[in-house]
Amino acid sequence: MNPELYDSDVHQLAAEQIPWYVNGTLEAAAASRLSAHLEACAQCRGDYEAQVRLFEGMQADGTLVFAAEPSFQKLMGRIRDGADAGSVPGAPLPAAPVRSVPTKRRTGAGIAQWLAAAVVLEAVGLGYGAWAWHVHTDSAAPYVTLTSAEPSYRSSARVRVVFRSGLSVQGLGLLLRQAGAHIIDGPTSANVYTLGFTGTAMTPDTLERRAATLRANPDVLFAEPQNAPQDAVGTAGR
Amino acid sequence: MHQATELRPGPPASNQNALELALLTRIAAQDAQAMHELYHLYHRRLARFLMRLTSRYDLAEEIINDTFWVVWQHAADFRGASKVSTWIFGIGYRRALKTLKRVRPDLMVEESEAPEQVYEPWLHAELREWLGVALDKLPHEQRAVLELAYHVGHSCEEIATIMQCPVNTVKTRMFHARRKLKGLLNSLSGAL
Repeated sequence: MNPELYDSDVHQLAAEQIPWYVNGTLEAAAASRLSAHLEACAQCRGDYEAQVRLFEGMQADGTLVFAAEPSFQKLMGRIRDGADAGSVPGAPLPAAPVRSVPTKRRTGAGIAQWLAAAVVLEAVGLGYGAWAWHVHTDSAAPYVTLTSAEPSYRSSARVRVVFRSGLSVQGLGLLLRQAGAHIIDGPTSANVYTLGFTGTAMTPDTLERRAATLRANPDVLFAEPQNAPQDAVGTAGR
Repeated sequence: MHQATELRPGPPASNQNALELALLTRIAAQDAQAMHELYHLYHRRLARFLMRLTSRYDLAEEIINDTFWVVWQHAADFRGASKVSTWIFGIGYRRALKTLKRVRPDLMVEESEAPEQVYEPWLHAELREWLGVALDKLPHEQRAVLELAYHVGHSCEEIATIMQCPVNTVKTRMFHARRKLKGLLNSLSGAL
């Protein structure tokens, strides 16, 4: 066997396996062989270390994701109404009959009962949101003119938000004043804005409450805290 | 040598799959609370994956709900030939491709037609911005492989099932994705 060709094959195999080794899905025996190779081969180890950094960067999820609950309510409404029956073509079916779960005839009764409970929960949630909003607006942000000194954002606390399209300038201004927030960045290509808050530093809990209060506003589609931007190699607004 | 997944929190994969199978069983019996739990378990992962593919929040939301509409309709038919997550992501990926063909044909450039680009990370002030920009510029098949492997944590074989392609195709897509992101990796090595 040509030793050079043999070496080349080993490195090529290592390069092929590294991503799956990094994400922990490589089969145990192959992972063990690769681990031994990485200990001995600086070139492949460099590749591995770079992939770990990319993996960690992608794991540090900075993506702004829309709220799940309103979307779920839309889905359940769609299911309850049965409006889309048969409208999703090509639904994939399982390949092998390994396991089966019981089939029942679908009726709307169970969904309606559950949705009734969900409505009650949501009403409680909205009540809390309104209360939180009211409490928060009691401490109005200081009035700032164009000639005033630039606000100081001593806290690194940030909230990234997406506003509902069609929100008027007046509506946006009112929303920001109520939240005691200022736009400090954005919009990104995905219309994501970063809001900052003047005043003292916030705890993560406080910041989460601010984000929750924003989320309770119907003109805010998404709101997520961004407490330590330097820690997240993320993808906001992509 | 330590694998990066040691950093990942959460229950072991087999336990997680058993939990999700139990939820599917309840969904097959029209249990809306189980649907609620499964939906919330997957929402964030699917949302990120689909926003990467579509670059649009509204489309991602639409596809997630199309996906779970299928889950609700076909939970009783799921026979455990794959992990629940593979099944759900497979539905989501295929729905995404159909949606993209309908509304964003510009994003459906085949890998072979995509212009070869080498990205220059030093042109971008922030690493996080660069990572997003670089990933967005990959052909959607390569971007999907990278997301499914490095963000969602699927195996090569599971990704082949999700994308309905041979395992070797997944490996090839991963290879090209990594090559194109080489500039980014250099930046990561200097910045982190």
